Amino acid sequence: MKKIAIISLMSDGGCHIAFLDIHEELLQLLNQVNLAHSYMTVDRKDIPYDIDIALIEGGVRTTHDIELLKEARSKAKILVAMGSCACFGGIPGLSNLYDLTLSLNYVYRETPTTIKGVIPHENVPTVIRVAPISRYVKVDFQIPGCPPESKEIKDALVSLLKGEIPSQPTKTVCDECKLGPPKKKPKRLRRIYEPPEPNTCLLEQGYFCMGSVTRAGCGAKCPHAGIPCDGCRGPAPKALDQGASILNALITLAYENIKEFSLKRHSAYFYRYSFASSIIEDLIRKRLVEKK
Amino acid sequence: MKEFKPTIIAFLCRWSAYGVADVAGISKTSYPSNIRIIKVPCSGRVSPLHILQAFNNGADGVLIFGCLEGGCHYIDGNLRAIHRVKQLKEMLNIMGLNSDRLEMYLVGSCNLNKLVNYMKEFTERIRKLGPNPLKLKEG
Amino acid sequence: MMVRIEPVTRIEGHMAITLVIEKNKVRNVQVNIIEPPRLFEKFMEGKPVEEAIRIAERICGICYVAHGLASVKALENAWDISPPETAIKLRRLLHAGGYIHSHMLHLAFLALPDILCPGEGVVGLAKKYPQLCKKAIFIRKFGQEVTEVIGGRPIHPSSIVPGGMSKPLSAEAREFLLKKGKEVLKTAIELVDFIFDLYEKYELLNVYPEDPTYYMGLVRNSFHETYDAKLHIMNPEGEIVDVFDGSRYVDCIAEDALPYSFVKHPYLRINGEKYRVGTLARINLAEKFGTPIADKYLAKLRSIIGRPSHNVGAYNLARAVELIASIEKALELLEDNQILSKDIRAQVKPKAGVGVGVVEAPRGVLIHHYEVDDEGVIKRVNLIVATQQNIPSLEKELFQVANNLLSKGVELSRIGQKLETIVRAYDPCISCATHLVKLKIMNDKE
Repeated sequence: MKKIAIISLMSDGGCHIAFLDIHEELLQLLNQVNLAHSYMTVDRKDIPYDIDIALIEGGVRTTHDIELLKEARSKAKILVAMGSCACFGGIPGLSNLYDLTLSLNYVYRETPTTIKGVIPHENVPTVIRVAPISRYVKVDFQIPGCPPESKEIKDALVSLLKGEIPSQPTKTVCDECKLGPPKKKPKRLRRIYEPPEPNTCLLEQGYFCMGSVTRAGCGAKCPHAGIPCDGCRGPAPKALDQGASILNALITLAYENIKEFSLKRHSAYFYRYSFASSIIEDLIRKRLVEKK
Repeated sequence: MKEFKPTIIAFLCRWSAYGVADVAGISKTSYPSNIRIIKVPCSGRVSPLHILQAFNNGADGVLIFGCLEGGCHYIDGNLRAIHRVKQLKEMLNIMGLNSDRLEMYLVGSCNLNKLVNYMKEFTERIRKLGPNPLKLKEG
Repeated sequence: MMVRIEPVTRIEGHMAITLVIEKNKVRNVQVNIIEPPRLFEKFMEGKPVEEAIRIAERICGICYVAHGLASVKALENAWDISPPETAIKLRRLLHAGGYIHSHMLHLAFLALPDILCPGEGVVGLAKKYPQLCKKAIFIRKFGQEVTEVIGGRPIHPSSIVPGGMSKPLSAEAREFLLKKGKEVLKTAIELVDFIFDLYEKYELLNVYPEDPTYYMGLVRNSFHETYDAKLHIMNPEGEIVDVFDGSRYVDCIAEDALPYSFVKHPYLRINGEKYRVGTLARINLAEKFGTPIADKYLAKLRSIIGRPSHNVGAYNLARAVELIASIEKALELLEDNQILSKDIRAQVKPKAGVGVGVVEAPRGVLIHHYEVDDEGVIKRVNLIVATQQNIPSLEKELFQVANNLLSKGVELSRIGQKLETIVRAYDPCISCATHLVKLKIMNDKE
């Protein structure tokens, strides 16, 4: 039986839960493969040798993550980045917009309830800039999403086990959405506390909908629930940099009416899941080296 | 000390600036040789990603030339470009790159001298600012 | 001699336990939470506060509903918004779905394998007890279906908005959930009976330490409550010593950061004492659930453990009873016709202010605290997360048990296993407490 391992780095565990959300099919899968390492369901704690497929959940945030990641890469034939944190850095990537020392200082010394403050340093790993795992190891396949669809994880596993490359959606969330495409240019910016008009494209109404630059595969669940897409599945194949792409699109669509688009102020919308893999991150890293 | 020759990427709209620069070869006016020209169908084709990539790859300065207001072949591509450049300048400041390293000018289709002067002025500006601090470094 | 125990027992990440042993006595225990700190409290600054809802859900991949609800409550507290009744009911239903999935996950995938097939995890359970697994999956799937229907997605729902919810419940979806829910309740009762029987058969409560502590939790008119109420504090003798509104939490709870852990240790300001939260705390604090079957089990549980109970092992039994209560509450909400109303969103106007949102996450009290400017952009964030409130007690209990076993001459690797069962009882968020403890004996030079 082929050996599968699910290894977790900086993550919230949601991708692992998405995997478990295959529900009844989990029992079938467990008969067909050797699930040798899965931190939520299997007792083994060290990473086994001769792994056929390693699913890495989570991005890199500490030196310990890098060690685990490299160990997994050396022991696995195929390494898959599972979830947007592993693929792009995820929401924690937004932390890279802030100075790390100031951030640690705030959280461990300056919050309203902290009395004795100290930045942890004993028997704990070193905290570094958030990064997708591809910054440190070669990644064979990516399953994006926050979390990915359960079916998507399972289908990818099934393909990889057969020795095939899984297929991946190549369209955008916009293509899957029933509300679009935009028929008019947005007149003003809207925030989600304002209820939208029904059956009308959210981008057209001025919401920061990331659908046009985000990879398809989720069925546009969020726009169908009345909330703009926040880009959780990472950049669409043609949108090399998710934030730069949506900024470009928004200026094109709305520059006459809306002057306040700004990567700086709106990075939480434009780069929510992909900041750590953006071109801005590359530039900042170069800058940090240069400063030294 | 070896004199710093700035590497400048210039996006030239084919309807105005590019045609003008083309003519430079025939007339005896030359534009500075450190300017690398990229022909685009419209200044509006230049995306924020192109500009960021140019700096990421070590360009010391980025120039965009578009048509005069009201003169864009695609109606308002040049106006969109102006907005993009404005946003990018703000972004460059945050990343520690001087926003003067990016500039956009609107030129008509006849004025070679004006074009060349802009290029010379910009080259001088970049020479004073010095090389791109992010050149060839990786974190 | 320093003994480093690394279970991949996670509290949103990894945990290790370091024991310092000298002359056959445990001198010190450190619970090292080595989970990568993502520092949400810092990077949420500068964001429009309504975006905090979806961002904060990503703090946890299991109790994301609780985070989403605490976040929107903090926002609504800052902007003085009262959502319509149906929106509150939909939120309560969503919350129940979250409890069903989370409690079933722990009981089935984490607690049961250690009793029925130690060392083999879910793989072992699936081989040896497939019918049991099927039942557990059936129940847990219902929790996720509720979340998907009400929340738009089964994990990290998107329909929680300032002022209410972004989409109403359709009559078809309600029919589907109601019908299924009744089956799920029957199955859950079978499972809970099984768990109670196991505890009795193996005398499992004797395996765990007793630790008399304070308890904190939400109680509404003496009923068990998870969405909205005042916070109550109970002392080890079982008396309520304080009742306060969540907005005053800074006066009541303090935290110390530690050099050896990425998670801070909270304690009560009034007396510096540690306190516990979660399933055991909730059933100590509340008189009853208010749903018939859960109340029956609660009475049975109290006849076994008393009230208050300080037994760490009782956490799981309390969790099982809460599972029943969550299903009953979900059915009650689904049967209420008002749940189909389309009036689910109040008008919202941003303003400057401070807001605190408190809910009971499956693992305990969860507090979100936001300060926003007049555009409704976040200036400052503070979070008190459920699991961290149980860590100080956990450390003390590990110290106690380790010393006890060491003095009896129990071998180190067996001690490691024992310590692990205690960690597991708390169901630390994303608990991978099934992992057997790996002992690394470090010599004195390290």
